[in-house]
Amino acid sequence: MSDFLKSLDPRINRLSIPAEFGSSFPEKDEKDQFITYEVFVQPKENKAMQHEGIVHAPTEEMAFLFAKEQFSRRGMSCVGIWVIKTTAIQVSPITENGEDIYDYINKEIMEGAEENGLSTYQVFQLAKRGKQHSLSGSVEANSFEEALWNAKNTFADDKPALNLWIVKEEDILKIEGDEFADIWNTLPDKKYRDAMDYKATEKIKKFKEEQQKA
Amino acid sequence: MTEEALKDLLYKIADDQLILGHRNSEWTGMGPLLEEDIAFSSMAQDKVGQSLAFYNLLHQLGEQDPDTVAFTRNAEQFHNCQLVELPSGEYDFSLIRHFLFDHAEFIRFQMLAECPIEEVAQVAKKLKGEVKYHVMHANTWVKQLSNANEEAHSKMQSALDYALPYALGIFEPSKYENDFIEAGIYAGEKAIETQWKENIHMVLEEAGLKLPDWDTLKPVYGGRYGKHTEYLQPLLSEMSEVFNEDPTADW
Repeated sequence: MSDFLKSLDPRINRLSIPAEFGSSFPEKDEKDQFITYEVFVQPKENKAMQHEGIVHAPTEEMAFLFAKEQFSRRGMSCVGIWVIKTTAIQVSPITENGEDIYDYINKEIMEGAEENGLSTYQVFQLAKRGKQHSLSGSVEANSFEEALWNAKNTFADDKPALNLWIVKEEDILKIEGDEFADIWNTLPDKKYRDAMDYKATEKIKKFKEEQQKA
Repeated sequence: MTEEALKDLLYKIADDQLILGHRNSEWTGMGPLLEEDIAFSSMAQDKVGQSLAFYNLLHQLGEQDPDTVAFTRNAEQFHNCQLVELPSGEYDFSLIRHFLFDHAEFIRFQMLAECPIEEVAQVAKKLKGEVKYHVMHANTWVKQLSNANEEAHSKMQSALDYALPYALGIFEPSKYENDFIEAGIYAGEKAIETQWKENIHMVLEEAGLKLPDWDTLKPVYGGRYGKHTEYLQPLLSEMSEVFNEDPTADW
């Protein structure tokens, strides 16, 4: 037997997997995965930016490329995508039984906060279990904690928020606005990417009937 | 400008898109990362869709329907440049081809978006956003890989060196070149080529890849006049295999 497994599959050819492994296996590399980025999509002009999922990527720009195809390949429209490194997002505790997370935020949380100058923070909130986080808006603050306090004063209302994500404006890669609007121009013409667009039932029925007759 | 000239222009655009779309779709299921597999496949699908838009314009001008035109012609009846028909090779070559081709295509669509023939301008205006994203994708990957390790960099440089003479074939002058320019259809192949050289230069510089002296390169011409490599006919036979099972089938 030769040194390498033989296969026509190029994935195997290129990996050059040996036919026989030795008695000991090497340790797993500490870092053999790309880091993750959170992807937010704004489906329409008058809708809020909302969390769609995660992509693994080596850089922010690559994360955008992957995000665009994973999360805006289908659907009627898209007007913008934000990409944020997962570790750049700070998360509040999550509440149970419909309690409002804002009720737990008081002025004292700012004590001892690490202040790093006034900047803009974007606030995302979760309105319901099983839904996605969506953008409430932005606040100016000197720290994540102050941003949380300011978010309470700006966005708390009758409807409870279960969980908050806070991120610094400068940590967001934004692909949106007039400069990029046209990259989603043809989305409404791509219904062929949805299973719904293939109405085969009638054809199959007709085909079966013809077969039975024959 | 005659209708013949316009058809010549539309055919070369449509054929480029169809053949490259088909080639790039060969990566489906084999891309280097799942996400990239999906992205590259999605762009391949865009390209086939773009070819359909131009075959539809040709159909309006009296040519046969898009399926017939796409699936029943022989290699010598295709007007695509040879760059797009070359085998997909390794990912370095596929990426570099995508980079070189889409930069040219973006300039072409920008010009055609101003075309006095309303139907052509509308199609170009609509599709140029897709091509813009394809260029963003290509630029990001070319920079990422070329600035990675030495092996990646040298693979990207070799792929570029190999592809460039074929890429110059994109701009093979048509026999109607002056008619297009006089009628203001678009500024002509020479103008696209000049702009293209500037645009790719900027990205390649960031990628640390070297461009040779343009005067030392001999463009690979012939594709626009039906002269193709040995690789096109097998591609066409494979692409039309299902269609030819039953050309009258209703999809």
